[in-house]
Amino acid sequence: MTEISLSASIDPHRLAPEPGDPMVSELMRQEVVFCLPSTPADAIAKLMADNDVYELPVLLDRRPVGYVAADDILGRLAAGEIVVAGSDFAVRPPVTEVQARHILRTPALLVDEGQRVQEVVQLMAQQGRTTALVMHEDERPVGMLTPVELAAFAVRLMSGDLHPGGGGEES
Amino acid sequence: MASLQSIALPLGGECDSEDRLSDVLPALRAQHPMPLLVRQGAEIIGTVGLDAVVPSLQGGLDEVRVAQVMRPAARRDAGSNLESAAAALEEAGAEAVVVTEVAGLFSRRSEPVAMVSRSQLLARIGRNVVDKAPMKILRGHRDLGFNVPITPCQRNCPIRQDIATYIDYVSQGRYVDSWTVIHETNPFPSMLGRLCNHPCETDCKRGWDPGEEPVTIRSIKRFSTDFAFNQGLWIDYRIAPAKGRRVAVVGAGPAGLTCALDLRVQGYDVTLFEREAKVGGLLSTSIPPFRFDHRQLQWELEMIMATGIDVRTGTAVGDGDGELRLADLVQEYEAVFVSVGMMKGRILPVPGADAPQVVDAMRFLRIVSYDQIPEHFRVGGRVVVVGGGAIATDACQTSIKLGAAEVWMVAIEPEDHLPAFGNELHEAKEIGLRIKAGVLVKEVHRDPKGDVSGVSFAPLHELQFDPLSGKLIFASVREVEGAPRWRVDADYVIFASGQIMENPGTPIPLTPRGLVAADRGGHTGLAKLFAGGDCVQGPSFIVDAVGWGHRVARSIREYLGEDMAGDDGRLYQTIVERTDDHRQSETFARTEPPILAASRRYDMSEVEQPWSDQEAIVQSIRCFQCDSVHHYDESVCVLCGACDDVCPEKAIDVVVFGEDRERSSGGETRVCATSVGTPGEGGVAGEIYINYDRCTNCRICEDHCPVNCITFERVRFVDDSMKVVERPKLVRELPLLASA
Repeated sequence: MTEISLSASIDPHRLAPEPGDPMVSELMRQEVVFCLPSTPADAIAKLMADNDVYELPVLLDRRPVGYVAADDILGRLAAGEIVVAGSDFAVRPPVTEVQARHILRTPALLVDEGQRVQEVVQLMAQQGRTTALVMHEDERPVGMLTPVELAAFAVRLMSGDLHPGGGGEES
Repeated sequence: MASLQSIALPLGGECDSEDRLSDVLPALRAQHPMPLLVRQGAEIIGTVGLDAVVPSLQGGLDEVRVAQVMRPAARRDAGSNLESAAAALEEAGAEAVVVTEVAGLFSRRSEPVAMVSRSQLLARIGRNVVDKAPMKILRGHRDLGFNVPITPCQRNCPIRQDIATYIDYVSQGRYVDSWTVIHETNPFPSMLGRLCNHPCETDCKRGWDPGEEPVTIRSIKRFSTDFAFNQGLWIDYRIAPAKGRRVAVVGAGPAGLTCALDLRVQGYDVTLFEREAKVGGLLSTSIPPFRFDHRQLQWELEMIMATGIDVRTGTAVGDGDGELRLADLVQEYEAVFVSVGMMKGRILPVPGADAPQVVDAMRFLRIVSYDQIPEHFRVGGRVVVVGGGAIATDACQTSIKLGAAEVWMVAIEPEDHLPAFGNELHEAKEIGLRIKAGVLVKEVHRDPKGDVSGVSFAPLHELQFDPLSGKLIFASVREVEGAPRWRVDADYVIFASGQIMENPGTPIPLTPRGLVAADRGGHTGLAKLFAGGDCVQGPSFIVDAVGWGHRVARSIREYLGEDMAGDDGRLYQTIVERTDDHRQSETFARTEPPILAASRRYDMSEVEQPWSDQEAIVQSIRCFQCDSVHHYDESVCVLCGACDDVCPEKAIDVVVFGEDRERSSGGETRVCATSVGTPGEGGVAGEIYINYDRCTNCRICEDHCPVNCITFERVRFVDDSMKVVERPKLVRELPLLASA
């Protein structure tokens, strides 16, 4: 008589997430750094630099409508549409008419807080994105996943704090 | 003009292009946001930053060399300006600029001396931002708007039903209005009024207090729908002018139908492809007839189809023979939504599972949905159902109603942790279901003729469950060594042990768990191709699938060029209305709709019975009407503070400028700003704030206001794309609930 493996005997969707592939909510940054469509480019740049985020979600009435990429801000700087005025010693605010709405990209990458991290990483890689906006089931953003959190997760994986794979996957 | 030199940092850590990413990760993290320089021999060939972790994590960082994920290094002279550096980054696709200087007075060679990362450039652009208003960071629930009057039930509902309104309308006897409000976001109220897992009730404010129970929201929805159905009413959707754009929807389940309806109403040409001979997906093929009213489902499906959706039933999409190719649909249509669900049951590969009397629950229920008795099912026989979820319970009850003499449900989880929810399990036990829990299926026994004769199971040690998800922890599943196996005689076995997606074929991207890889908006990352519902999320609830349909419809509209930033779907008119008085709410206790007596539940008659008007009104009066907001007449209010003093929930703060009044409600919603007389000359000015997380709409403030300046109002948006008419006679037969 052939015995089947334990993992093949159980519906994988009834199993709790494995330590090596936790839910997004366990790993995410517990805050949402965002801007509005009307936010000027210099304020967006500051938000990005201060918070280590290179794709910044744009929310309207707390609803995601897209994102702004750092490359687009730097592109506008290169094109002379953002003027970093003043000398290095006597600075003045940058002069720009550029707002988030002018460099808005769509769609924002939205993931569920109950989704598995490995699935989200696959999505981010597939879509060439560095920020996933984590949504609660009530359609409100509750966190973010960026390379900073993923790198911390990778270190834990490698140190053996967590272990990927194991049982529970479909046979 | 700012030069690179002014913001450059010294060259930091370095690595070799052949290093493994796992080895350089600690240095990457330590130096972030500055990337590491990548050298090949003595030459700098690029940089590697933390972004490289994203594409590398799936395969394992051990397997990735730096050379595979590094980015080229842009170079600029130290005297260059910031604009030039930004241009260099753009041209090279780089994440940092290596700043160079001429090596010596007479040298022509430039040496790298420093580095400027994206982050430094951004910081320099933002260095002088003084207006902090646009600096947005949300932290915690308070910031997320949880202190404004969005009702808790609504914010917990995946399709944001305007629950407080439709319940209020029932309490006023406006049943048709109630049904119309439900239809604004829910095309299947007859099904969700009976079968929803009702996350709204989980968060109903009425249930927040100890000893209190939530409002029976789900059943009130059913009541309104029953009324509209019995009156022969119909929703005539106003279709927007044709856009001339074609969208294909693959799979006519709740997600696909919702998306198709949303798009059709917006004027898109929608073609719906369905593998089955009837539309509805799991609603019409997996849910047994005693759980809902087939006529009402047909009515709701007809209302959707009558909008002009092109339905092609019996048309499978996949890579198999005779099936339509997904790639061809992507070619032909401007957007394709894949919502194929998880319609295939899973039979565990235990010895003997290939016997002819072994079937998966999805197939079993599907056959019954076509009014047929499954092959090999014997009236008076013994049935074992392996699994403990809602589908297992349905298979058990269906077996009993089809005439099985003995039915066992056998599950891994202990009985108090079975995934089945609601009263179904209890109802099934009342009509004879027997349960064995805490065992693992090991073998299906066959007699000499090859027919099923029994099933044996191995006892398990005590199981553990994840406190967060409530799901089973795999590591805790251990057989009791040496313990005798438990065997039950059977001649028919149904496996309700999970579902599998039927792959719709190339080019759909899959996850390691065999689901479609897509984000919450349904974007797969491939042009034109969207996916949603169970095939992305895994097995879930009907209301989640409807939520997917709405979200993906929005994504498709956005993809096809509609400006969604300021548009919130098809909600247009704003109305302000007085809400009904629910002050007697605390007088009544929660009740559930009656169910048929056990002795009458041995056929396919619907188990849950309708409510009377009286019961529905009483239950709707229990609602606190959390969507009601205080309206203070600012020309009358004298800022006396009586409302603040009498509020039993401490939800109101009356702030009088210049007076030291305690502000304790935590409320941030300003409902009144007024003055009495001239401030500073004997008069006062002030504001009133409400904490709507505390307010229970008891209206004691209204009763005690000495100047009668408080009323309660609701502000809502009305969907003007729907008109209620009499149910028309259909001119053509729709493939809705076809029999095989």
